[in-house]
Amino acid sequence: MTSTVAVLSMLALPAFVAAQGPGPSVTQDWGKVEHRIAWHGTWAAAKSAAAATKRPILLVFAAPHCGEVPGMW
Amino acid sequence: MDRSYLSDQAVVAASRSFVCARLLSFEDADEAALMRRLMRGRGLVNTVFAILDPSGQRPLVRPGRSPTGPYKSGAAMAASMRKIAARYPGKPRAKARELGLPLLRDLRLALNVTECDAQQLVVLRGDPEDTEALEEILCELCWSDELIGRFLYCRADDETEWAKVVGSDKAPKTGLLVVRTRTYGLSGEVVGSASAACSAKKLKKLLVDAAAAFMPRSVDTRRLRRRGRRDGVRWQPELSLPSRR
Repeated sequence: MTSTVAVLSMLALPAFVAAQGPGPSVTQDWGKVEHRIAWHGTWAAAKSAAAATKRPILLVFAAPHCGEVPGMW
Repeated sequence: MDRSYLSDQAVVAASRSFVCARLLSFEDADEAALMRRLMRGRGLVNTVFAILDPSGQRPLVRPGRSPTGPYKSGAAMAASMRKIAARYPGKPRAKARELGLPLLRDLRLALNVTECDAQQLVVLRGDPEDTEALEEILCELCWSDELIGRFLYCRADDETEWAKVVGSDKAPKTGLLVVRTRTYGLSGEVVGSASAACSAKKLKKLLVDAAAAFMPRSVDTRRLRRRGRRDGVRWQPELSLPSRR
């Protein structure tokens, strides 16, 4: 359960969770998200940008697969 | 319950004063070492959340699995971020070239991540020397108010497996492709392109129009996961997955 909550909270989208049998059904409704965070995709690039701009770093790790199936967080 | 802190619009607004990095958990050994350091020697896990000082060395919020640890809501997270940004104001109007084009590591990962995010991918295609001018324009555009956060980006060259991208054979070999991904993010389709000589004005129009025309679909992840398993679709990360995450 802790793992599920952690994964859901990392998703950059509204998630609506409903109990439908074993395991949550999560509908990701992307159309409702107007603005997104602009993510750097590598640590090297992020560190370089932070050094140049003196900005703090918001860092997340996430896996682009769910149950080893790609295309979803 | 909506726990999507990272799509909370107040968090997104606060993120504009930060450098934001979303790293992939099992794809790079050096980044895995960073994860282990942040998590104080624990093994690799699916998700980690942290806020660091500009040096990237000092955590300003205790690293953990999720923002739900330190924060009770997206609003609380946004308020904390605003306080941190006030302590570390950085350059209020950083130049785009200082931020750099936020590239994903390669086309394979970029297709997958773009599908995860239900966004569109911009691929710089060709030798970096030949696309330098285009990249500069793209970098300015990607941090502009109009286009920030609208696309994901990667670079790809002749060595890339272009068969994964339908329409790439008809697009410029040196230039830029706008790609829409397909289910599972293992392939995609070119929906727009520009040559390396494209002007800033034309490139902006291409991207603004592509963003406006894109309607992200909603996804039931449980069904998709089940279907993927049934169809034998599996992602092979660069690093070994832990047996329990």
